[in-house]
Amino acid sequence: MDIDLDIQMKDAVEPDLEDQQSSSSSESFDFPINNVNYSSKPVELTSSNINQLDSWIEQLTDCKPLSEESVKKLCSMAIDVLKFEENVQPVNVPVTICGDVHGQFHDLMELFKIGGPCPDTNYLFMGDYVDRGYYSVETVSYLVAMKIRYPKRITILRGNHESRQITQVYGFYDECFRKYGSATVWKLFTDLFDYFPITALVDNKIFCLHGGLSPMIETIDQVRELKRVQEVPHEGPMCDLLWSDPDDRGGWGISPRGAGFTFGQDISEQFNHTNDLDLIARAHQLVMEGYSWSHQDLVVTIFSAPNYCYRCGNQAAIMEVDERHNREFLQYDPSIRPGEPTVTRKTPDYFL
Amino acid sequence: MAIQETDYDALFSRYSATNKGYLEDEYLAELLQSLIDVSPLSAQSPHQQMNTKRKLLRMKKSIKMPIINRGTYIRTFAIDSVIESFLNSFPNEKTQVVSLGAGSDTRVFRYSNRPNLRWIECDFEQTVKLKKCAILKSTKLRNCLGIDEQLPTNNEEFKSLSSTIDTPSYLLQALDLNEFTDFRQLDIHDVPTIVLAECVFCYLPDSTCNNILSLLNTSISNCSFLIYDPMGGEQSDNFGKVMVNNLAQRNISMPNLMKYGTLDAQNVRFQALGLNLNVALATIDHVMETWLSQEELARISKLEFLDELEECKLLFKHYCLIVLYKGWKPEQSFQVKAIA
Repeated sequence: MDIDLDIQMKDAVEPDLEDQQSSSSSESFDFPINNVNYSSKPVELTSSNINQLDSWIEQLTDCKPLSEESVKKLCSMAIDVLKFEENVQPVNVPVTICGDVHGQFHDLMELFKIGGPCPDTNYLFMGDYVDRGYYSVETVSYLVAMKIRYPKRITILRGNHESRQITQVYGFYDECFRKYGSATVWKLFTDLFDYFPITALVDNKIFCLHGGLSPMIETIDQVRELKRVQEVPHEGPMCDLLWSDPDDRGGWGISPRGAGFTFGQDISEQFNHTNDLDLIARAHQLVMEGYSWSHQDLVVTIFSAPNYCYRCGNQAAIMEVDERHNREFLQYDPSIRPGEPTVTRKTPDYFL
Repeated sequence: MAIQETDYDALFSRYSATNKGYLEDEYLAELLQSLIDVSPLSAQSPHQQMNTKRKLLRMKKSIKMPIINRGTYIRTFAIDSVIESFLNSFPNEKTQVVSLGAGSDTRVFRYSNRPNLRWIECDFEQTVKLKKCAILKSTKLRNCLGIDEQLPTNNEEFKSLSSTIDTPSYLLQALDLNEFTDFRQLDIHDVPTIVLAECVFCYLPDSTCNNILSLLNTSISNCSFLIYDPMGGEQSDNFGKVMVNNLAQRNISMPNLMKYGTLDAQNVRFQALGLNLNVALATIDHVMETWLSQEELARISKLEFLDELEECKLLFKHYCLIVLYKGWKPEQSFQVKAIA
């Protein structure tokens, strides 16, 4: 996948938020955009709202992006829902927990086929909806529309790719520009991402988040105290929760990703014990079978983008947790994509 | 044609990696621009000429993902390291590098200051001619190699241009490897030689690869080979299958991707030829993990955010570096070794 250089981009090498605020590339990306006054309690769905959302969802189901005007309305409604959610959003069982989707829209539709349609099935997504795949716009629009339409049935957490910085390197910015002719939609969505909850707690027993633990966080209450409505910082607890990885080595380690930490089994044991947890469920890492246990079943990695980047050949998985906390993994392969013009799709890069 | 175009993948990947600071190559931008400038010469109609140039300009503008930049870097680093190791083993002797399917490689310029080194490049006629024109077009490249010849000005002149450049230290020659049946087709000297096949054997059938190996091995008394190729993985491995399908969309076929999918399979393959050469094999993942100094690793880690660690590992495990050698020894770490 190539990024078109016609579009000016800010480089993510030396992330600098101050600098980004005053960025003068092609647009100015101040954030958040909101000079609108938002309501002080969650938005009540009116019948006209419901009709609007249903028609958007129908359009998106066909993988057709919404108009820029609709995205604007969608994001504004979504802020009114998401800003009332908690840093540690409580979720009840039964629920189906999913990992990275990365703009692979057709595979997301396959996911709902495998897991059962929403809202009949409750879903918890652990972030990384955009970048890498070719349909980030449709994917994130769909999930956000579903979130507003069925706020109690679907939970969408923030991943490390739901950030201004990363999306400028890994494709979402470019895709928005290509599909809408400007960065407006990218700006609307990345401003919305600031409101996404960063973790969820399933029945007080399964702690769900995109990346992993932070050396600055010992209790779940400490997560509740974070100020989350901001761009994903380059360091600190909020960054770690979205970037860290479990590791075979004990203790804390420096992450080769350049953000977050690696944490060993001793850390997971301590955290789960302190917080009376059964399990940490997280996403963030490609695992070839779609899910992978670590730390003697204290941590599970779930990855829901099959044949990631159309190159990796991996299976995807989701984890169903029923009323009695039984867990079952459902694995799936890439969807057959009728109607998708494969010939126009650029083949992924190899070293040739 | 599809295979010739893979040279552009490599060229523009190197360009991207150089721009990002992974690689240093003072000749790359020069050769690339020069290639773009002369590209219309190869086309007949004005329309084709414009299209050829436009296509290259578009490729030049596209930038690559961090994973491709990193892989391009490590591949170049790995091959350079082994060539260094070879050259250092023969400090006072005449040596020779034979680069098969060299395409737009810039190593000949980068190594042009080495005394006693003769560099031979061969590729399809069209590729070789364009490279020659690109060199003739650029004062810097011409001076680097000490060449003075008239650049063609139109397609007619281009067609009648001899594709060869032949100086004491450089031989550029058209040679379709499928038709390489007699070693005399290339003016090779009998001095310690390393034959570089960077993403070349993967496109060729077994019989052609074996033929090339045995031709060169019998005609040069001290001949080593340095091979970089993708591997499809285990039979159960989806990565290779996906790669075959993806490349088929570009009309590229790699006949042995699955057959020699692992280091072990590659080892057996080359041992079975009875070339009487030692074999050393490593995946690019192993090279990445063991060949870089801490400082170099720290340097490249800072160049770009890399959120593709697992994918990187997966991709790099599916590329290998193979050295078939005698009379010297590569000093780097390899995973599999077999002494002849």
